[in-house]
Amino acid sequence: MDIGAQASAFLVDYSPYLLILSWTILGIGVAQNLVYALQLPAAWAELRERSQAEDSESAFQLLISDVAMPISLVVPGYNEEATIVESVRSMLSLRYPDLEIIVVNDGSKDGTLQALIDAFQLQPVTRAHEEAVKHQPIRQVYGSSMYARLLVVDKHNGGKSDAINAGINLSRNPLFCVVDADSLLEIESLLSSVRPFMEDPRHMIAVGGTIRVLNGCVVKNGQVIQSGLPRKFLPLVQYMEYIRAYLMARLAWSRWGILTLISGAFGIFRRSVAVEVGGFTHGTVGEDYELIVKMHKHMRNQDRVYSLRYVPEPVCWTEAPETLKVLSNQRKRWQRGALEVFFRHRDMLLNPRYGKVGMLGFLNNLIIDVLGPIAEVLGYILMPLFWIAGVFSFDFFLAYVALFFAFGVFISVCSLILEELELRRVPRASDLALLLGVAIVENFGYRQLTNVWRIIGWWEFLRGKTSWGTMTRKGFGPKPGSEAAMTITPKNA
Amino acid sequence: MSPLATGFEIPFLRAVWIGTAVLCVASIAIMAVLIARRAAASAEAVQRDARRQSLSRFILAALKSPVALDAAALPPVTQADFPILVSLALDMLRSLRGTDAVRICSLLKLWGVEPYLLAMAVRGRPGKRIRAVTLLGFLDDDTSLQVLLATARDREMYVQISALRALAQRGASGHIDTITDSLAQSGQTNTLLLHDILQRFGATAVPALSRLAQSPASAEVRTAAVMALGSIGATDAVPALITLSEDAVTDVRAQALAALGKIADPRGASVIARRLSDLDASVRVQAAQALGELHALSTLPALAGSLNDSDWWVRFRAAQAIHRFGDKGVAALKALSRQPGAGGEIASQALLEFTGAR
Repeated sequence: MDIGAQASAFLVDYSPYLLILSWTILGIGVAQNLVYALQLPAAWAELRERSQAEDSESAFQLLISDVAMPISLVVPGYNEEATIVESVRSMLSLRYPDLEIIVVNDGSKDGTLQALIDAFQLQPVTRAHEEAVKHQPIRQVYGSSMYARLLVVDKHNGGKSDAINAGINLSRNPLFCVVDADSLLEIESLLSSVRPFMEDPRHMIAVGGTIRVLNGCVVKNGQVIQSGLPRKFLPLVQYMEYIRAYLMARLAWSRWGILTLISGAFGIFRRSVAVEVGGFTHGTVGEDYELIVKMHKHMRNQDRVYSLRYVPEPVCWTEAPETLKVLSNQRKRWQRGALEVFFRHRDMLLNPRYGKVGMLGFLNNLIIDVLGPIAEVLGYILMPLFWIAGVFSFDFFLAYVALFFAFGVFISVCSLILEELELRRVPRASDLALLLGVAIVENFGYRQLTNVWRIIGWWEFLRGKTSWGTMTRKGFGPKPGSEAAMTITPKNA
Repeated sequence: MSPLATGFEIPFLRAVWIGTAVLCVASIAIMAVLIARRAAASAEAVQRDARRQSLSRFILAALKSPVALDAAALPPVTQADFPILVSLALDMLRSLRGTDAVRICSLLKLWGVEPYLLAMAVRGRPGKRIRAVTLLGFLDDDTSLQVLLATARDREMYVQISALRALAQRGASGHIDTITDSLAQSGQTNTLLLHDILQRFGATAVPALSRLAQSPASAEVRTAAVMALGSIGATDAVPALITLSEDAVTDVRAQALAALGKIADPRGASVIARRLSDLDASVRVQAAQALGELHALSTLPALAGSLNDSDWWVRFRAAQAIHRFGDKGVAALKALSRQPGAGGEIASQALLEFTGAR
C-alpha cells in the first residue's frame, strides 16, 4: 500500500477524532475571540469614564500643590553604561513635586557605576533602612552632591528582581515606581499615574501606565520631543501590538478589577503591600506578572478590599527590538514568564476564594497564554491539511480562517479606533493610515511567527530554562560630536 | 461538504465567518473615516494655531495697555474662537495674578465668553468642565458663584475638586458652611487634594472644618478636614484635634496627631506621646513624627521607648524625632545606640545617617 493510500485510510479511520481535534482548535479560537470581543466595549467604557486626555488642569494643580503622594523611582540597571546617565538625567527632569530616584547598580560588569559617579558627583553615604525584602548584599550607597533626591545603590549581582528589592528596602516613600534603565518616562507621566492612588488612598495598591515604542521618536535631553512611527517593519508592528495590548486588554481588565499584569518597565506600587508579599520574586523571568498575582492572592487571602488600575495616559517609551533574533528571545521569555506564573499559582484557577481574579483572570490566562499558542500553531499546520483531506467542510475552514486571521484584523483596527477617538497619540493622519495597514498585515505572517516563538517558549519552559537572554541597545543619549537631538534607531544584537 | 457536517454546524460556521468578515470590513471602514477626519482636522489646526497666536498677541498687548479696554477696542470674535480664548486664558492665568488676572477676566467678559463658560461648566466631559470651572474661579459675579456652589456638589471627583478650588480662589470663605455641608454628603475620596483646597479657605474656615472633621461624613472627607486644620495652623482647633486623636478611624487619628505636630501647641504633647502606644503602626509613626515637630523635652523618654517598637518605621521616625531635639537629641541617641537590640541598632543607624558619626 503506498503512502497516499495509507494516509487516506488513516483519515477515514480516525476522522471522528480529527474532527473533534478540529472543533477543539476552533473552540479555543472562539473562546479567545470572545474574550477580545468583551474587552473592546469594556475598554472603551473605561476610557470614556476615566480619560485624563482633556484634563491637563488637574495635573497642573497637582504639580503646583504639595500634596502629591511621595514616590520613589526605582531604576534597576545591569550593564547599562550606554544609557544610564542620560536615563537618570531624564528622570531628574520629571515633573513631580515629591520624587526620589534610587538607581540600583546590580553588580554591572561594565562602567555603569563609574559613569554615574562621574556624571552626578556621587559620594558614599549611609542610609538607615529596613531589610524588609531579601536581596544580595549592598556594597555601597551613594548620594549626589548635585541632586539631593538621587540615590545610587551598588550591590552584588542578583538579577532584576533582586535589584528592585534593594531599591524597595532603601525607599522611604509610600509608593515606588519601577522603571527600566533603558526606558524614558514622559515628563508628566507620574502626575497622571499617581491619580488612582490619590483617588482611592485606602485601597489602591498598584497602577500601571502605557508602554510605547521609542523607535522613530526624536529624543533631546532625555525627553521625547517629537513622537513618530518606527521606519522598520518589526518595531512598527510592535507599535501596533503595544496599542492593542494596552488600550484594549489592560483597560478592560482594569475596569473589571482583574488586572493581573502591570508592566515591569513602568508601574507604581504601594510599598507596604509589596513588602508584605516579599517583594519581587527571584529566579523568574515574569517578575512583574508574578508580583501582581502575589498581591491579588495576598489581599484575597486576607479578605482585604483592594484595587489595581491601568491608566492609559502616562507613557513610558522603550526601544523595541529591530531584529528577529532579539524579538524572538523577548517573546520566548515572555511566554516562559507567563507559564511560570500561571503554573506557580495554578491553585487560583477557577478557585472562588480568589474571586474574579481566579474565576476570570486566570481563566483568561489559561485560554490566551497557556492554550492559545498551542491551538494556534496546531491550527496553522493541521487545519489546511484536514480541509484538503475532507475531514471538514469549506465552511469550517473559512470559520477557522475568520477566527484566527480576520478577527485579529478586527481587534487590531478597533484598538486603533479607540486610540484615535480617545487619546490621539499617533501624530499624523498618514501615520494612522500606515498603522491601519500594519493592523491588517500583521495578522498574516507576523502573528503566526510570534506564536511559533511562543511555542518555543513553551518548550523552554518545560525544559526549565530560566535565563533572560541578551538585548543590547544603542541608547538614546547623543553621541559625542552628534547633534543634540537624535532619532531612535537601535542596533539590537 | 464534509460527510460529517450536520444541520446545526453549517449555519453556525457560516455565521462565524460571515459575521467576522463583516466586523472586519466595518472596522476598516470606520478607521478610514477617522483617518479622513484627522486629515481635515490637521488642516483646521493650522488655522486655529494662527488664530490663537493672533488673539494671544492682542491679550498680551491689552495687558500692557495703560488704560482698560472697552468692547469697541477689541477684535471681533465668534463662537468658534471661544475654546481658543478659554485655553489661552487658562495658560496665562497659570502664571499671572493680580491686575493682570483681572484684566484677562474682563476681556473674557467683554468678548461674551462667560455664558459659554457657564454652559461648559455644567455639561460635557469632565476635562472641559474642569477648564470652565477653573476659569470661573477668576470671575467675581454672583451668577458664576452660584454655578460654582452647585458644581461643588458634583458627583465627578475632579469637577467637584476644581469647583472647590475655584471657590477658594474667589475667597468664598463666607460660603464655607454650604461647602462643608455639601462635602459631608459627598462621596469624595481624594483626601489629599481636598485637604489642599480646604486649607486655602484660611482661618475663617476653622469652625466649619472642625465640625466637618467631627461629623458623620466619610473617613476620607473627615481626614481631609483634619489635615486642613493642621495646615491652617489654627490653635483654636487644638481641642477638637485632641478629641480627634482618639477617633475610631485610623486615618483621622493619625492625621489629628500630624496636625497637632504642625500647630506645635504644647497642649498636644502628652496626647501625642500617649498615641506612641496606639495599636496601629501608622498612628504610632505619625505620633513620633509629630513629637519631632514639637520638641517637647517631656516626650523624650516616650520617644526613646519607641526605638524598641515592633515596627521599623516607628523606630526610625522616633530616632529622627529625637535627632530633631538638637544637641540633647544627639546625646540621647548616642546613649541609646549603646543599648543592645533593635533600639540600639536604629539609634546607631540614625546617628550615622544624620550626623555621620556613631
